[in-house]
Amino acid sequence: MAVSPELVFSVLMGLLLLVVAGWLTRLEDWQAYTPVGGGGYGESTGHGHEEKPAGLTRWLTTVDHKDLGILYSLFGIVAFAWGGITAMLMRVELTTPGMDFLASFGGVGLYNALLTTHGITMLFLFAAPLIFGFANYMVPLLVDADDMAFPRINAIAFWILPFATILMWAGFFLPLVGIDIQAAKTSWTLYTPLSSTMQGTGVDVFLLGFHLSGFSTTMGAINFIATIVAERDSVNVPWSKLDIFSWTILTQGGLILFAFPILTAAVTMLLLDRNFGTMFFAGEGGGAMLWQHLFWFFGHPEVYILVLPPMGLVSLILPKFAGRKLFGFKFIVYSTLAIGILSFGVWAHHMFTTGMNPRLTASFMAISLAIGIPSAVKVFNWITTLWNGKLRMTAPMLFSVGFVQNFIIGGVTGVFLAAVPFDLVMQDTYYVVGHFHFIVFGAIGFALFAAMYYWFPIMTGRMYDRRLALWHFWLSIIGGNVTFIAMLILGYGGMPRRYATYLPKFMTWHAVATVGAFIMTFGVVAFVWNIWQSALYGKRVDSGDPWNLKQSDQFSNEWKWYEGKRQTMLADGGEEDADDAERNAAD
Amino acid sequence: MSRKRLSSVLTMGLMGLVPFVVAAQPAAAASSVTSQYIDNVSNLLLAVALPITIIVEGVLFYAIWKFRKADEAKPTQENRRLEITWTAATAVVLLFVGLVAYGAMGSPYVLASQEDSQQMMEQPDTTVVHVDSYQWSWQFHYQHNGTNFTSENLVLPAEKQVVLRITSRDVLHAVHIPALGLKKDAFPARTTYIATEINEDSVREEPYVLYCAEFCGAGHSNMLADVIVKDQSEYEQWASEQAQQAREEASGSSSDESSNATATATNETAMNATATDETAALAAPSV
Repeated sequence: MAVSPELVFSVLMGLLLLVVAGWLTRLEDWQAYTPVGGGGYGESTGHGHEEKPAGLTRWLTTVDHKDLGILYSLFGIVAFAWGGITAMLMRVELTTPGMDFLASFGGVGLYNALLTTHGITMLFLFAAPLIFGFANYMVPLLVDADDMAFPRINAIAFWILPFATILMWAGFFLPLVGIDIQAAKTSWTLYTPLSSTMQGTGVDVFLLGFHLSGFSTTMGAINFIATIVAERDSVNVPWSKLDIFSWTILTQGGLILFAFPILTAAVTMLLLDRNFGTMFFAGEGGGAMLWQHLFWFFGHPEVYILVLPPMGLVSLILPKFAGRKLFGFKFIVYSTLAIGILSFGVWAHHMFTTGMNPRLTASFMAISLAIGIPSAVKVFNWITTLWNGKLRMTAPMLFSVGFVQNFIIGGVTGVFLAAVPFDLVMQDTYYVVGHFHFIVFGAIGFALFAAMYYWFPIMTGRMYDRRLALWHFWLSIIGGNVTFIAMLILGYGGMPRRYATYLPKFMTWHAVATVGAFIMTFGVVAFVWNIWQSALYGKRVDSGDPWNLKQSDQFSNEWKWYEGKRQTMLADGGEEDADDAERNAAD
Repeated sequence: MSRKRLSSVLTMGLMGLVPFVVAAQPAAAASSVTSQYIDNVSNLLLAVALPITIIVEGVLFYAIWKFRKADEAKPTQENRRLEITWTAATAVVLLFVGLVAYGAMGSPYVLASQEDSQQMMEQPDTTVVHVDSYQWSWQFHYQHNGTNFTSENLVLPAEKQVVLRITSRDVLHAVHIPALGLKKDAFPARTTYIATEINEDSVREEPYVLYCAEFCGAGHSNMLADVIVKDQSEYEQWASEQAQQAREEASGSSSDESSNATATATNETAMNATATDETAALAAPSV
């Protein structure tokens, strides 16, 4: 057999990569041009010691909840970039009615692949991992635990994610190197029989990735539940003093435990249908409706899996900058639990147009409306927390307020959609798209940005650039509202969703939505640049209480931990080794 | 003090709702009975929701504007009564939404159950169209005076009860005619129904658009069809012309044409090929 040049080239390339990888793992301070002492505390260690190796090996082998929290967050930001790029490609294409911008790259097929990956990425690879990132870093500190209950499972759960992601994104990159595996074009809801009959290995690869990400999430959830229930310091943090973010993470964990097995089962059945000739979703017994019931029985709790922790973040951050305690703490906890339970009874409101029994639609409408009550209660409590406070409009505060502003519109439009007759015309139009983007970007995204700025000093030891953060906020809130309100108006006009091309009469509002999307993009660029620059070169935080929380008696556990860490570091003679400090703190 | 002010703001807000609710007239010129019901619900919801949204957002902005330079924060006190009040107030508003929606859902023109649709199809005066969807187009099967014919456009009579029987040959699709307030998903191996009556005012030369609203693959955004609403006499004329044409084609056809004609002429056969036993059995009386 003749050795082809390609093979030789591949082997050489592989060897080169191995050498580079080996060099990187040995390299300690890999960013040579950082100031002496390395980056922030989380960024890199000055030198290795017996507990934690230095350089890349540390990040590849870590089981420390704080390191994994940072890895999750970085992963979430990378996924956010991909989700954002795909969104912008679609928005640019949608500026004009015809197929033009994407035409030479793959046309409608590429558009459909983009809409699939955008949805999946933003929900499962951006929002969920970023929530897990903050929860990983902060929950053990908030509940006074030494680490997560199962540190190794924690690491496994994280490391599954990059591989799941490679599988889910592979279809976009493999064709570039000549492998014929196309990206899935099924839309994120994977409705059968389209998804069960669509040709191509790409869909299977994508499904396997989706599957894997579900394992990761489930492991994470078990870990959080165990940590909050069993590792919590029951003297310092009894249930009555558990903070609101941990409450929402606990509720989220419960939802994940009940919802994700359904997804796993459904995806397994779909894979069997596609590859082994089973007939779960093809036959006449359950067929297409079975998929929808299974998918939404997972899918609607998933919405609350994603929105409850951000609600917790806002409930945690808002009072800190209002200078007073959260109004109605108990009611916010109750409403969180109420939403968690009710969320399992609303799934068929995604299916009002399927011709299901009208009496059934009425009961699903009733529960969908009922879930509006605890959501509204939260909004009123947040506003009342601001009332009579001493507000400090820092970046985390602005994003928390922005969350409330967006959530009001997202919630009200959601109530509209719960009303069956309204849903019957609006289902699968841009109205739905506008509604859930107000929630997913306007609320979930904003809360995550707020958390990022709020905890930035703890995670990096540095302060973000305030001016850039303000740009980020104003561009995001203006761009978001412009885009998503334009989508609501398109929905009123009857514009169906998932359309690569559309009738010219919709052009004006599509153009407005695109302009808004560009405004948002500038904001996001400011955010990423800010995080990157500030983490490496930002101004160092000069106290354990950068937000002046002691003043209003809200100096909570994670900041106490941080202050303790700083003090031991100073006692050490300013040695900037996070691990030393930690070891001393533990003594 | 401030608690009173807050509750007075809320009360004023609720008072402000009243004129909106009163002003919400039944949709003046709805295009069909279905859209009349739905527009009513939609307008009422908007009349209630728009002021609520504006008031709540307003209170949020006002709170920020007012307290952003406050000298000190007042300590938070539990206020169970306030919590219960707004929980109840929200419940009342949502109950109102539910009742308005439920009122419209009673009509078979909004949510037709299978039995409702079967009954309507049995009535002699009902126009029944079998909407057959496939990747990526539509076919509309009619029966006129015993003759079956197929049309590329959905032609519907005004002022007459219409039932659309919707099926799919492959993946999911959805009939979406926003201008007439009509939508229903199309399934393979299952039949769904839309029942409506289109208003006289909706008769016009320019066709309405029927979109596919359920993602169905590469041709999804081009899966459109024209919907032409005619008044009854014009519709009758059109239908008899089409039926006449179909009869001529069937009688003067070569062998391959006749097989084509069977496919379209035996509407029910096409149905049976895809329908479940149950729906086929239920559909039998309409033959």
